[in-house]
Amino acid sequence: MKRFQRPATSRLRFAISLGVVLFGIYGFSQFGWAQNSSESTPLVEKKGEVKKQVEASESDNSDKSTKTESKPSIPVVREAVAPPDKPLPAIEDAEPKEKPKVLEQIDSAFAKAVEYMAGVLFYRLGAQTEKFVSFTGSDIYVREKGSEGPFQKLTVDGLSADETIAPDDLEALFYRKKLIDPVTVDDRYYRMGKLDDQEVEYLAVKLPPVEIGDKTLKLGHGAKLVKEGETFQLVGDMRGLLDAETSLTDSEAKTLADAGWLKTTDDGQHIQSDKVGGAPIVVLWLALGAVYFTLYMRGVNFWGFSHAIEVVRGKYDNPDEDGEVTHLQALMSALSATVGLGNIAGVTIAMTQGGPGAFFWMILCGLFGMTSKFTECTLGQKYRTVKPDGSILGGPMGYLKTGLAEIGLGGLGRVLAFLFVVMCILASFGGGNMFQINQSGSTLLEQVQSKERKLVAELDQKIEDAAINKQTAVVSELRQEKNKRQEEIDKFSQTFNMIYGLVMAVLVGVVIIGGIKRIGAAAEKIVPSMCFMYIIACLYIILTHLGEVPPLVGAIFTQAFTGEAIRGGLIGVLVIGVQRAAFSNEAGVGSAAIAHSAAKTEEPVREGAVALLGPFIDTIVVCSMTALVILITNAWDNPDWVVRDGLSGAALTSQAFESEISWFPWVLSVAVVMFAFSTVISWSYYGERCWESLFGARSVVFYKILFLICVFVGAIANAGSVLDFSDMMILSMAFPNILGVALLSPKVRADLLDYWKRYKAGEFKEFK
Amino acid sequence: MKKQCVVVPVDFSDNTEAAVRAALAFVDSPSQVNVIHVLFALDAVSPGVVFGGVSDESRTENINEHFDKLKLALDTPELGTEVRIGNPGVQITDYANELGADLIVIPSHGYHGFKRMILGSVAERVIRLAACDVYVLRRNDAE
Repeated sequence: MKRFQRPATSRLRFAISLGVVLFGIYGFSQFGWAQNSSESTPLVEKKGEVKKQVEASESDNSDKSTKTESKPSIPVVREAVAPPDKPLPAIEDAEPKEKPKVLEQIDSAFAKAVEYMAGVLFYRLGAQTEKFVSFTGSDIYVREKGSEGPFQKLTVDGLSADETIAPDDLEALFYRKKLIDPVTVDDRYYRMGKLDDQEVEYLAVKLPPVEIGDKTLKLGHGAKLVKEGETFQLVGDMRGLLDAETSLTDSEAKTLADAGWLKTTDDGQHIQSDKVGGAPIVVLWLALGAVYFTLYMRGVNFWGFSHAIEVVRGKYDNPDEDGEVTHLQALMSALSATVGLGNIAGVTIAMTQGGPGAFFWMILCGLFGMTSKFTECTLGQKYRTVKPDGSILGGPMGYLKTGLAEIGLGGLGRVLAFLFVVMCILASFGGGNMFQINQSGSTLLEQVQSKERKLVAELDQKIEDAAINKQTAVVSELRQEKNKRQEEIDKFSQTFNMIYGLVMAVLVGVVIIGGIKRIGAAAEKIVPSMCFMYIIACLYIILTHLGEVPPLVGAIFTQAFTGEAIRGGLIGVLVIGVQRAAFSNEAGVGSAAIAHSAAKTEEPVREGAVALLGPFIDTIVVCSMTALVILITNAWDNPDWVVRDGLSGAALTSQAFESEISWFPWVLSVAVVMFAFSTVISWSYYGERCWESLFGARSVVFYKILFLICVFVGAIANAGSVLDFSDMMILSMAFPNILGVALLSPKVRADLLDYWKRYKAGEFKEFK
Repeated sequence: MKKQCVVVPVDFSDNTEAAVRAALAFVDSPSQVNVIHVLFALDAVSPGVVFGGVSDESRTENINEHFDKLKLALDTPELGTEVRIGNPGVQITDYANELGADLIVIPSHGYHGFKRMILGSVAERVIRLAACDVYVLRRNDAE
């Protein structure tokens, strides 16, 4: 049996390049640059969820007018306090806990399962241990249970007689956001507790700035201070960057701990530790795979590019060859699956979490990903089945089973094929379906409701002002109005989501079950024009700010390597960039091979070349446009939008566009819905082929029904775990796929070199 | 045992020729044997349908070309052929009823993987629905 003989020099070159890459990754992980926020980077923008890391302790209350009816019991600007010598007596919280409903129990069980899976599939290599302390200091005010009198401040010497809070002041305190975990049921605000076995009602009030040593520090309740060098530094709101000005030395931390103001673990330690940083295995797998393929195929993504353009233009389109579509049509079909929310929302998430540097790594991922796509789509073509009626069945299920069997790894091939198929089906329910419907629905809803929401936000502000000034009559009137409006908003949201889910389910159902090809065809053909419009809008913004672009480009490059924009450092930035790009262009995941195998050709390499263009258009063109707009409008670094309004993902993109083109958000919402629809339809095709390969063609109708159910559920679901789970499946398809493709890559390389030789010799017949 | 009209469902896999030969053994003239291939309803989401020229007509044309090759291989130009679209079990037995067939010759398995997980094979469906005798061909490498 003749094995493929690599010439010795290129074998050496290959070994050296691979060694350099591996050493590089190892080196980074050892240099302690691998630091990242300990919260796992969210894969998706959760519906209506706002991530706030630190609550501002003293907001700009000092600017409020002092037109008061009576003096508030806690002065607006308080003097700093020094930590006491010993902690306050412990107060036990005695709030009755609600028994979780069945749905919540299922949700939390599922969430645990998803967390466990994420721990395995997204296990972070090179994670470091990080030490930190949590500030939990607060003032406690107590009164006997049932008494209607004032709350007395709890001190180390007992209850204070003169430092009290009157029941009338509670509302004002609540709106000034001074209360910690107030109970809002019945506007009670206080919590039930137990002090020395006596039942009490108590308030936990935020502390004023803390005086320690010769410094005064503003520490919000729950603030996290991370050990960096010699001191513990405060974690900020934006990208987890540390505030070196707000820091504690070890002895200062001990002082605070003695005062009972730091959270302690079960064994009384105030210094906690967490594993952070590193890179998830799947991201490393995708990145390494892409680099390996690029090196092994000798950089075909560069020199094959012009040939790819030739092919797509139809130069070699032979209508007699086996297949269903032309090269261009296959590319459009694959693109309609990959161009979606990832390009509009995912990129923005990457910028907000990773800063400009992440953009560089996204581009790099797109560039190297081109070769991953090339290799897997060539294999998809090579091992496809042409059915008697002329239709095509191809993709990873084909090459993993048949291809690996050819090189004597049939058992492994069947296992990998099975794994791939299962994950692809689940991914088609999740990332290719529920995620798209969920995100497009919420984007459209926000656009429709934006006026109402702004009104409610204004009312909130008025209520806050009135409460602080203790204008009780005004407060209750405004609150009634606000509650009415909020109720209307919530009811409308619910109805909207259900209707949206139903409409989408019907539209999708009409295409996939009813077989009405016109809708599907229309959607898939609209996507290129929507893309085009989107690019025009981006270009407009870029061109009108052309002067800002060069320094921006400079920042992109420098920050890509210094990683100073985020606490995660270089590795953090890299991981964010690669993860979002991989989710967007699906290179290495294997799904596109299913679409590309339908092209009319007898030359697998030719279709592989066409597939190269996928990540190029998706990541290097469309994603870059979005990224540049986000960077130019500074949306990624805008504390008003990101922290105050809690915008992220598609909502932040919309806001960024609105600041330049006021009417664009409407267009964007419509575009988002179209992108989502076409992605959903395309992924239903992938899922169907996988289902068919498992259960036979006759049972595909069950898949379709399940798929439609998911469309509806995706619109009404608010379960973050479900969305996280399905995105995990898309990226996890890469595990069996890249392994199989890597094992089969010698064949692809041989085919590529042979094809190129024949091409250069002019052996290919031209048709146009 | 001679029959007057035999229907043979085929899927153009390895057992197709063997099935037709088995059917030919039951009749005097090849024109009494009718092969049928059933296609599934077209998938509106496949790239071929959305972008390309895949349609029921083009598929039927392709199948007929395969039938021509089959007839050539067996040297039986008078073989009856039929292409239908829909549920295989139902279409096959309907066709048999229309022709008034007195025998259906069918291979026991098609060419899909995970055969044991399939929710009922075509052969089982045909046996249940057929109005006439059914002759099931076992594979030589029976599982």
